[in-house]
Amino acid sequence: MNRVPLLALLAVAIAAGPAVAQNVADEEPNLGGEPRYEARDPAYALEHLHPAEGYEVSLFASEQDFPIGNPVALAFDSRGRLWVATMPSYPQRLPDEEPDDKIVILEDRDGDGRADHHTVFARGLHVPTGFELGDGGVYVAQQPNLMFIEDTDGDDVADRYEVILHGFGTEDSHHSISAFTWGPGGALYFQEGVFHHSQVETPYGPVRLVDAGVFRYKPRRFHLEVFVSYPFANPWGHVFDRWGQNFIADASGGSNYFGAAITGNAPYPTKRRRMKVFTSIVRPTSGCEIVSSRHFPDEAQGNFLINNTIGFQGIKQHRVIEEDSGFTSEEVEPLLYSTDINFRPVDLQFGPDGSLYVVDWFNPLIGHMQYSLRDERRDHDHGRIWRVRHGSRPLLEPPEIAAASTPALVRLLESYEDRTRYRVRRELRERPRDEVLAAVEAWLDDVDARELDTGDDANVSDLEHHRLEALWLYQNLNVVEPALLGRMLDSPEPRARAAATRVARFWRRELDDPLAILAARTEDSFPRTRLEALLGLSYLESEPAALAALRTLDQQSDYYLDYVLGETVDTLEDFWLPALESDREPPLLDALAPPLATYLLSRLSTRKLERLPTHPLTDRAVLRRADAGVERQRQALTSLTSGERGGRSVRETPAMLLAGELAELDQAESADPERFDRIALHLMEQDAPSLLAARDEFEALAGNGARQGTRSAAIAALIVATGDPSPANVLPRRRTDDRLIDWLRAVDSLPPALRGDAYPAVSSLFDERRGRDPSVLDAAVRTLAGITRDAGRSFRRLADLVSDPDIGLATLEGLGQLTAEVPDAWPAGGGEDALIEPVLAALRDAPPRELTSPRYRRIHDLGLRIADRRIDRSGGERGADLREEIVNLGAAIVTLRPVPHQMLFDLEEFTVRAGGPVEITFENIDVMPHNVVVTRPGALEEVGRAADAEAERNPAGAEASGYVPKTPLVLFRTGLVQPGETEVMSFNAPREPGLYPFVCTFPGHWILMKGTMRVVERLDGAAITRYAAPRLAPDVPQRAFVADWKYEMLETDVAPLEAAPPASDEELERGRRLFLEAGCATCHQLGGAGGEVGPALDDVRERLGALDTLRHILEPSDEVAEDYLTTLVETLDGRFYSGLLVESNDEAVRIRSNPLDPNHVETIPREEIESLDESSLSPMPSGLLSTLQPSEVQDLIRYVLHAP
Amino acid sequence: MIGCYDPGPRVKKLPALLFAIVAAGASAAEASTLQLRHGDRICLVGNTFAERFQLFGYSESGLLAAFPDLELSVRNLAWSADETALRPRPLDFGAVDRHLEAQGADVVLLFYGANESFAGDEGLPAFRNDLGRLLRHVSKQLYNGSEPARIALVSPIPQQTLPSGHGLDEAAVERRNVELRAYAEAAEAVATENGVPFLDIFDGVAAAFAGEPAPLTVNGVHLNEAGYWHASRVLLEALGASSPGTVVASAEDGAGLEIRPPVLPPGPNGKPDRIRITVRDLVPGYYALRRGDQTLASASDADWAQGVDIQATPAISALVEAGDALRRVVLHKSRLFFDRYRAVNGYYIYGGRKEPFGVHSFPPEMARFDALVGELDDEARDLARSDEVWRLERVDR
Repeated sequence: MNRVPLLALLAVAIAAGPAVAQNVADEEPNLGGEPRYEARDPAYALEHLHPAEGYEVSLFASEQDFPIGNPVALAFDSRGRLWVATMPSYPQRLPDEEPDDKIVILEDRDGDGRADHHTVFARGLHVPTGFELGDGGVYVAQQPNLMFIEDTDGDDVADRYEVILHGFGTEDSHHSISAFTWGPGGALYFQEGVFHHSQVETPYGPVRLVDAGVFRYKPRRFHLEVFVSYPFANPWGHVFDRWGQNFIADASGGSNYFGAAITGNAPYPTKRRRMKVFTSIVRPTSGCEIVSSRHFPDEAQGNFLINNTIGFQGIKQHRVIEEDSGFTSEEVEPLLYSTDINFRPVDLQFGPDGSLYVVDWFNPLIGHMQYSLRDERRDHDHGRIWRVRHGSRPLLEPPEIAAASTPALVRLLESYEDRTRYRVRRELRERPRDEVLAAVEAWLDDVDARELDTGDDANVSDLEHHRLEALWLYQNLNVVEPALLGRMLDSPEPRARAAATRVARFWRRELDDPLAILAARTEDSFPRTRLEALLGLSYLESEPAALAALRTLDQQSDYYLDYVLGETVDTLEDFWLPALESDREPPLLDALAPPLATYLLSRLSTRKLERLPTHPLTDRAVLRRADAGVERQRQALTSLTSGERGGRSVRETPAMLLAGELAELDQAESADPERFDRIALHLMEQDAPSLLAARDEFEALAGNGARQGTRSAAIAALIVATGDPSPANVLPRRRTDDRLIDWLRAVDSLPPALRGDAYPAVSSLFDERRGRDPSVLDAAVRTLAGITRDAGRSFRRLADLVSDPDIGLATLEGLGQLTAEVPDAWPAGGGEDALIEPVLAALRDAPPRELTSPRYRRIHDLGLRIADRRIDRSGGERGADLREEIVNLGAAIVTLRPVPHQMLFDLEEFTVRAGGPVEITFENIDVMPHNVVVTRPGALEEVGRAADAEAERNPAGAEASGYVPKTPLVLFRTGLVQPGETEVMSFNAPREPGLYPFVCTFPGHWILMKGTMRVVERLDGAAITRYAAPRLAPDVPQRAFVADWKYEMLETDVAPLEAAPPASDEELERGRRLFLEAGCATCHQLGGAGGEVGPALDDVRERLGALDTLRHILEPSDEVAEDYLTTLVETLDGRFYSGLLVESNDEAVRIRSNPLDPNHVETIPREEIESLDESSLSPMPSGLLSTLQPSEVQDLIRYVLHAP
Repeated sequence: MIGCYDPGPRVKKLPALLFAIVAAGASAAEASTLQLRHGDRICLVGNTFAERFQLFGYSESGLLAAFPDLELSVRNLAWSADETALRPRPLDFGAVDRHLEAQGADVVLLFYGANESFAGDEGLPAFRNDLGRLLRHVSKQLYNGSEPARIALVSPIPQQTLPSGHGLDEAAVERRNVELRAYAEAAEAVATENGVPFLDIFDGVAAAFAGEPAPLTVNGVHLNEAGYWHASRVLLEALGASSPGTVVASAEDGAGLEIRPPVLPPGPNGKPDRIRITVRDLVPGYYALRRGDQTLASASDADWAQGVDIQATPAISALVEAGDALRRVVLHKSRLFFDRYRAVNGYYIYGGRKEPFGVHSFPPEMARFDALVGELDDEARDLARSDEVWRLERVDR
């Protein structure tokens, strides 16, 4: 077996697991092994289960004695009985078979550790992916619904089935609501995966969630809310720790999250940004638990356990470590693993006796993609419950819960075991409320009394935990207790304060002033309390809440605090941005401490920032963005220095302000060089008197600035102020080399006239400083080359210096620069001949890598200019020969850009010398990300297909690798270049001449976005070495990014078109233009025009309504036209083919791999094939509508539906 | 060809027989009355209130029983939390139109307004606008392939305070009911503007809330089984069916009037024990109602015009038994249709992962579901027609 992508993933599991796990991976049917059936006996399975040292594993129940085929989840009731949900109907019912999935109660009546009795509590269920006991019955997933099942007559057989919530997603039955767990406050949590569209009615209004998240349901309030909206794949694990912190396990990616940080308010349909995980990654997982059992060893307490079901099949174990506001972990020895490939642990929980119960789905096939859902080899009969004990410690006496009096039960909340308290809370919810309230009050008094008795600091944490349990109990009973909450918010135990802050979040609607409470917590000394406060504030949806969140900035931050503050402030942008945009008095920014106001402004895009009304802080912020418009910065400068503000007249001049900015930048931790340039640029626009007025400041900066950029800008200001560029005027008498360089750089930034005035002083340096440190002369050459007033004079001076061994190269570079800027700088009578040899020598002697550097580029250009002049003047062959020689001595410099919205590069071909240096600058001026990948000759399609395949098999991994497939066919590559970014890639061209394709491998782009790098042995004399397509205005207008549209965001705009009358001519014309501008016409025919890469759209209106059309455009890969579905083939030697499947038989598979060339068919012999998959990835790019306004989307769809 | 989810077979229909049912006491000529015709396929669209009808089967079995000769069939296409202008669906599931077309809807009952009402007064203009657009759109569609759909808009229902104290308290429920009523009134206005019949069940359901000591909802907003029993009666009445257990006949000539009493689906609180027969316009005299040899009741023409309760056990039991069988078939059909319409694993049936396996496995399964649902339709139609034939004969006093 050589399944590179999958084994790469498995490596993580294998490395951490025992060596023997390797064999399992080889046999794993979900990774390509044959399903194996002999191992159906529980005894065989037990022999192959390997607990960690000191632990023992035994069978509690199996399908041989109980109807527990395909068990999926477990729970323990108040009597200590084990409840199991089974789903043999998975993946879904057949039309002629009534589904009969069950909830079964298992009992061990004789206490021998094995079940000996069972009751079928509920039957006739359909794929119950999750369940939990509570409120006198069972909550169970019945897609698309949540059902509550009760036994009203006490015979342990359900007799009432009530659907209580309708409308959870059903798209993928294994993504549907699962991982049911009670939170400590008595809310039921369950979660669902990607693809799902849920919309559920409640008495408080509809609740919607798309593409994964966690729900929180308060049964007695009938209150449902989205607790987490996060781009999970399928989150199958959720557990709360002793202090109410929750951890969420996402199965597919093996990503385990510190839950709190992603629980902030995310109004539909927004999702949280991706966040880091808190454990190492294994996958796929199912179910997690925290060790909290005195039967388990001390060192295991608090460990995070997670089931893993493919590759490594067992229970992974992580030691959880508190770190800053969150947690990190350290992987320790797995608790258990199996070498029977059918072992599939899918849920686990500590039982009343302190041992760990593990649900084993027992199935050879569990993948939903690798095999048909209806594959006959899926097992529907087997299932086991295993029990893990530790050999050295006795089991615990199961706590009395069902039979306990209410006061005794409340006292049981002092138990060590998390699961005991969990079950006690659940039981107490069913007891008479007044009885429970009385018992809690008595208990709280008792806890207070004990504290007075002992006065012992050591158990403060325990006592505070008891009080926290009491607080949670009130929450369970829907009794808001502000006094106890207040006490816990000020608890000496920081973890209790964090937990109480979360309670305040959930009580926000009932508390008098939740804002005040949460705002005060932003100053807590414990970072997790501050984190919980931020999360709570995100729900208060007001400007004051956003401003309170900012106050966490007054304290130390960390990864999770940064993340949550950013998410909170961004979520609340709608509430604080209007305050910045309004003209209210006093302006919001004045009311905030400057660092807070500055943070707020820092969350805004430069575009939004630039549009804000003028305010000193806004203007300051604009002035400090290197990517802000120069004109807007000029305005900022003007308004910062004119008029009155707050009754005070502003006396600062722009010059003084810029001096201040310069001083501040000089002291900043890091300084973007472009910001010095911007300051210098603005300084040069000030008049001399105002600069002169700030002379002291500039002199101080020129003399004492820590950074060269500071000193030079200040010197330039002084020169403008005095009109005298001579060093004597602006430098101290003792001129170190550094000071001279400062001055030379200052001269560079002067206006041209003043620069010209500096000529004598610059020129004389060459005589004064000859033979000393060449760095000054080097800088002087550059400055001289920039003196373009009387450029001939500068030319001659530089030409004189060419033979200087120290600065010869620099002067050649300077001449290159000068002649590029001022073409008539050349002396009238020629003068270039003397430069030929130095140029040739410089290029010949250059280290090859440096040929792409600016210096050698200029020298090379100078050489070409010399040759061209020679050709012009003599026309002779000598000029041509010289040109050819120079051409072949240089580097190829290529600038490549996408053609906006057209999925093309602006350059189809360029030619480079074999082995010669190449530099490609890729400027992404499009609105979607792209990359540039150079492949081996002829490998374009294979690389493109491999990129698509990897993106499909392992989206996260592909994204991480910039969508560049890991194959030797790729020679050179950029990273993924985001819109507006530029990346430079340098390499030496291959030695082998040939046609080397370059291509964008972002999924789906390769079909169009490609070109050829022609590699030749020797370039001819007329060849060019600089490639840059003219940056012409594209055929269609440039469009700016509007939004990353999702279907739900546009649905209401497009829905009316379903019934719209035929479009008017004007509407059609607008639509036709958008069809071009959005890039549709590049690939699709419509109305007799357009490309033929994708299907023609003329008959769309026959098949699709407006909303379907919208869906197809926004989510192209979610449904691919049959004729455009691709088959992916990976061969044993690691090649990829893909395309339309033309023929498939026992001997070979035939694939049409190039949609643009239907005659080209690849034949791949069966014995060479490693894997064959259908790709669901559309070659059509997504994000095509991101530059359109909603009204334009309407126009476009109208055109698609009604084009003549 | 872009693959599309096949929502099922288009119903092939015979030309509809014009067979207008005249609502008791209502004028047949009123333009805004929903006309039911022979063979009508009635589809429900809208929110969870509509969706939950299928869990209990009262409205559907009651409708079939009330109009046994019309041979109606019902499909519930409602979707939780749907609003007039927001109806997200799984990828490639298809818009509501596509499913109405697949079901060949002749009649569409629309249930909107409850979810929209959470937007309060501020949301009313948008609601009016969106609803009007929706009504105009739906009433123009030829879902059955031959003629525009006949449609009716059903009002929202009020919210209830639960005696358990769970859920919203009384004051909050009162505020909600003000909002709901405002939306019901807006809905009525929009329906009237657009010539669409409006079935107002708000007050009828409110009266049921007031009249029953036990809660009629599971959470204040969604009716429970008893709630649907009441709501179904209110809705059926609005649709022109008389109350269960009531037969209204009229006879110019009272001699030998044949009465086919309807089957009686039992409610949640036990079996109906009587049936009220009302016969109007009898020639003055004394009449006996006979079942074979058995006389069920005798009364004067005036009494018959007021309505006479029949309590004879064997006759009523037969009707209840048949009604119960009808409801069970309706429930079975509803479950099968729901499991097909809102199938789990939709992503593998019609969505992004239907390739490579789903396209082979599921089309035959879906076709089988359709066939089974069709068979149960037929069975329900048969059960809806009672075998009982009673005769009203003039007798001497």
